[in-house]
Parts: sequence; structure tokens; C-alpha cells
Amino acid sequence: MYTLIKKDEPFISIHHLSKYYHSGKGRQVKAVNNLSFDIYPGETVGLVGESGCGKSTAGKTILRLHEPTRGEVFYKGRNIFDLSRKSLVGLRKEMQIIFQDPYSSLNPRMTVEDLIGEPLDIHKTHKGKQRKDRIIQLLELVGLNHDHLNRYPHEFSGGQRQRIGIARALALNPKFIVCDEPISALDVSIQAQIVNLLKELQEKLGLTYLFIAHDLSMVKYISDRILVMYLGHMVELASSEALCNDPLHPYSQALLSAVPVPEPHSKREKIELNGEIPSPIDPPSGCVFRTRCKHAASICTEKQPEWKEVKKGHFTACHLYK
Amino acid sequence: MKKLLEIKDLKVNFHTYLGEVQAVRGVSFHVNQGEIVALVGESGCGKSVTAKSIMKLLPTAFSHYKSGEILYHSMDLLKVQEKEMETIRGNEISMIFQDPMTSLNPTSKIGEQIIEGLMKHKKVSKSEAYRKAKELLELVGIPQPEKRMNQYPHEFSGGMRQRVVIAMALVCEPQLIIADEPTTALDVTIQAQILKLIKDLQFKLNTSVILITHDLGVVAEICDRVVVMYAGEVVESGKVEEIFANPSHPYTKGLMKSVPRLDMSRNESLYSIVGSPPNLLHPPNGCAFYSRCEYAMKVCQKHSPNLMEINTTQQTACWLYHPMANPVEKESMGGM
Repeated sequence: MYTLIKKDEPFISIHHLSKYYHSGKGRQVKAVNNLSFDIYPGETVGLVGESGCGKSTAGKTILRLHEPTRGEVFYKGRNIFDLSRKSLVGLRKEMQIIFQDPYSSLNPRMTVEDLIGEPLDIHKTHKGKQRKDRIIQLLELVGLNHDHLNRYPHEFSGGQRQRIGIARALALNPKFIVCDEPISALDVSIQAQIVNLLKELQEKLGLTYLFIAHDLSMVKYISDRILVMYLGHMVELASSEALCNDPLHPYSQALLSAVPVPEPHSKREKIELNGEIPSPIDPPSGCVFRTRCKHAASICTEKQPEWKEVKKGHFTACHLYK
Repeated sequence: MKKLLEIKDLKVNFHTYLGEVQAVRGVSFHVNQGEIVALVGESGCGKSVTAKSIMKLLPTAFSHYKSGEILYHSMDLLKVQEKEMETIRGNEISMIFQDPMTSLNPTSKIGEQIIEGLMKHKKVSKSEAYRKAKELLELVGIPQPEKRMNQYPHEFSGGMRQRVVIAMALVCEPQLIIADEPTTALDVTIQAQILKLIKDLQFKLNTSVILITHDLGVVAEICDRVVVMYAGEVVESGKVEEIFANPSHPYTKGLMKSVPRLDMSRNESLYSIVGSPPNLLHPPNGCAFYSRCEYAMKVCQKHSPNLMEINTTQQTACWLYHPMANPVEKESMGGM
């Protein structure tokens, strides 16, 4: 069903992943619904959508930081949800995460040396002088230096803190990193620095990224392929050029046209979306986007659209495409 | 066009236990009647402090206006007594804050919150105020206003709350609205709705708007003029077309280039400005952008440049545009 864009084997394979939360009174919040896609070695998959669409939950469930309600994630041929606690520790070395807010993701009472050394201590990989050398090496890798070793997070700017967060994630030589909105808390001129750093590290260390963000222009710049989510569902998946130049799903089209362009009097036509995102506790029947879609027909109420490949490597779930 | 507001050489300091922080260091700009002016810059560059100075909302205990004038209809707001300021705030100048989640009172119904402002400023009866509040909610595009007036803020989504906050800012038909990052907390599709609303209302009511933002896309979308701030100073100002087609200050140029465009290829490398802004506890003597500037000269380290006119509408604070600047240096800028 999921034809490969690249010839090689998928690095991580996600099959029908769902994550529901209980919200009292027997109700469920369906945060992530039936997510299936592959991530290939060395590529960056961008995951976009508006707040509450389940993108962060998806990222964390793929790393098994949350237990899924249903579904599998295959890494190196094994379903990571079947792993015992012990073998999961080994997996943690290979899969890491960079968090959104560099202000709250670093312990304010730890020095930079301890913050970056923490993963090394937990996994007992480096000791003594070796440990210190490795920490300095990591600091230099992310553009800081050994003068910063004994400082505390509050002595750094937002961009520098995010660099520390990245050094922490890189400490154990991971293969795969989930970047959960790593730049949205930063200023424009600093965002470019961090994105360039992430790209450079990917090339140098051969990393694979799942890059979660809501800023489409930045996602397009960093990703090979982009997956759009809406209300917990996959809406469209394509190469970033195809998605931005020729979006198929009405939601992707609206999302793209809503991005403000730094170009005065731009002639671009805006597709205005009326209304707001429905609650994931009580999602609309059929297609979840139909309440805001101008193409909505009766079939959209009755039947959930199938996920299908409309063009080569370009998937979408919409009744407009037969 | 008539000048509605003019700020001249405004300097604001904050007392902190580490010393004096010079948050705003000689800001001058003006707002004409019926135009939208963008105040652009990174966090900590003094744009919000400038805005709050206009409203005189800075905490008096530890802030201090070192110098300057804020002329509104040629009346200096910095000299106005608090009592008189209360009649200006809301009536003449009103403000929309960034976070619609915290700028409404969670314990009081939306209708009551709008009526409160109306009755305080307009001396109208309660039923008149109710009617007007309903009209305002309709104006900002809230469906079923009567039902919505009886609801509490938590029953509204982020976009709807921001509409309510905008309705409250419009209560007394102010001449100037200061919108401090009104869409930063919102999603792109909702942001597009709110920007369109602000533009429509501005057109309909002919109010002036100061829009504070760090998003250049937002600026290009709805603003007429741009004031770029860096480290507590204005580094460039001009019409929106000029600033985007022909940015002159190296900082503005850098900002423009560090935003990826949707039509940009992945292989193009993204420009980034090296380093970070200076600490305003000890601002540098010379140009504040000196340490990050690719075109820095000797003079930049020692002397801070004043705003220089490039043409009648565009001004920049950079030594490269001084009449005595070496033309070779200027050429290297052209190829940037």
C-alpha cells in the first residue's frame, strides 16, 4: 500500500499508530488516529499541522515516550512497543528528541557540563577525562566551547540554550531525532542559525529527522518530505516540492495560502478557512475536515476518505480524488 | 497626511538589581492618521516597552523615562497626569495584547467585560451598552453574539478570544490602536482571519494602528510603513514596499534573508546573522549591531550612527549611508 519513494529499506516504519486519551465520563480524545508512514535513512520528514492536531503526540509515541492505544512502530525490523524495559534502554541511545522550549527543558540547577553529561552517565558510556572530552567535543559540535562548561542555563540566550538541548540529544550518537518544534520559541535571526546547525549536523553525522513544526516555510526548507495532519488524521504526504507547489488536499491548500509571505502586495490568492478546528473529543463523522471544507459533499459526511496515492509518491485522503 | 502620534528621542530605563537596563535608547518615529505602522524587531529590542510607554502602562516603581516626548495631537503624553491619562486610555488609544488566553478576566462573562468598558468611558445606560456590545461582537465576526455574551472566556477558542479582545479595544472608537503581537499565539489559518479583520476594521473605521510583530510576513501582508528596531533603537524606517524591495540597514537585510521563502530551494543555504543582540545593561558605545555586522567599519565601533535620510520616506541608522562614506563600501552592500 505504501510504495517507496526511495529504493532503500525504510528506517522507521509506522503502522496504524493511534493514541487516545481518556478525558473522564468515558469519553476519549483521539489525539492520533491511524498514522502510517515510513521514514527513510538520512531523510527529514516534516510533520505539520495546527495546534492540537496531534503532531507532538505522534512524535512522542513514535519514540515510545507515550504508550500507543494501537499500532506498531518498526525500527530495525522490531516493533519497539514489544521491547522489554531493558532493551528499550538500548533503543534510547539511538532515538532522541529535541524539545520546543529551551527555557523549560533544561534543569536550571544543573551546569552545562552536567546537563550534557547526564545521558553519558545514565548509559555509562564515558567516564572521567573521557567524559569531559566528549562533553567539550559536543559543545564544539553545536557551536559552543569549553568556557561554557560550568555555567547554568539562565546565563544563556534562547538560541544558545537550544544548542545545549541539541548537544544533549547528540550525546549518545543517535541515529534518529524527533525535533519537536525546536525553533518556534526563538527569534527570526536565531531560527536560521539553529536550522542551519541541524542541517549541518545531519550531513556530518548522517542523522534522520522527524521535524515537527507549524511554520510551513521553515518545514519546507528543511524537509525532504512533508506530512500534513489535521485533527489527529493524516491529510497529505508528499515530497516537500510537490506539497508546496501542488497541494492536493483542500486543507493543505488553505494552510499554504495562509502563510504570510514577506512580499508586499503579493497577488497570491488566499483561501480563507471559516470556523475553527472541531474538538478531538467529538470529531465530525466521515472526513474530519468537512466542517471547514468548501468542497464538502454528502459523501464526506458519510464515509471517511481513504488514504491513497494520487500521484507517484503523493498521498492524500480526500474524496475529491478517485 | 496628518501626524497623529509622534515619538521623539524616547529613552526608557529599568532599575534592576544588576543596574540600569537601557531598554529604549532614543526612539523616534511617527504614525499618520489612518495608517498601519509595523514595529519590527527581535525579543528584547524594546518594541513592547515603546508601545507601553505610549499607553503609560509601565510600572512606575522601577521604570524611568529618561528623556523624550510622546506627542499625541501635539499633547505630550509623558507630561499628562494619570487622571487625564485615564480618559485617553481606551477612549483615544487602546491596546490589544499578545496572549488572548490571559488578557480576559476568566471569572466574568464576555458581555459584562465589554459593557464594563463602555459604561466607564461612554456614560451610557446599561441597555444601550448591551446593544452596543452586541454590535461590536457582530462587527468582529462572532456568530450568535447574544448567546456568546453570556459565556465565559474558557468557552471561547483562541481565535474567538482574540476577536473579543479586539472588540473591547474598539469600544470607544479609538483613533489609535496598539496591537502587541496580536497573532503570535494563534495558528496560521486563524492568524490569517485575524489579520484580515484588523485590516478591514482599520479601513472601515479609519483608525491608525501600530502593529508590533517579529513576523515579516505579517508586516508585508497588512502594513503601510515599517519601523525596524534593534537593541532599543530604530535602525531603519520606511514604506513597506521600500523596506522589502530595498532594505538598507545590514540588520534589516539580514532579517529579510534569514526567513525562508516558500519558493526557495532546499539546496540554497539559509542566511543567518551570527551572534546575538547586545546586553542592554551595558550597551556598546558605537553601533549596537557592530559585533554582528558584515560591513562594520572603524567608525561603527566608536560612534553610534543617527538616522540618515535615504530619500524622503526611508531613513536608516548606518554609517554606510553617511554622505562621506566610502563609495566602495556602499557598492559591496549593493551586491548583498
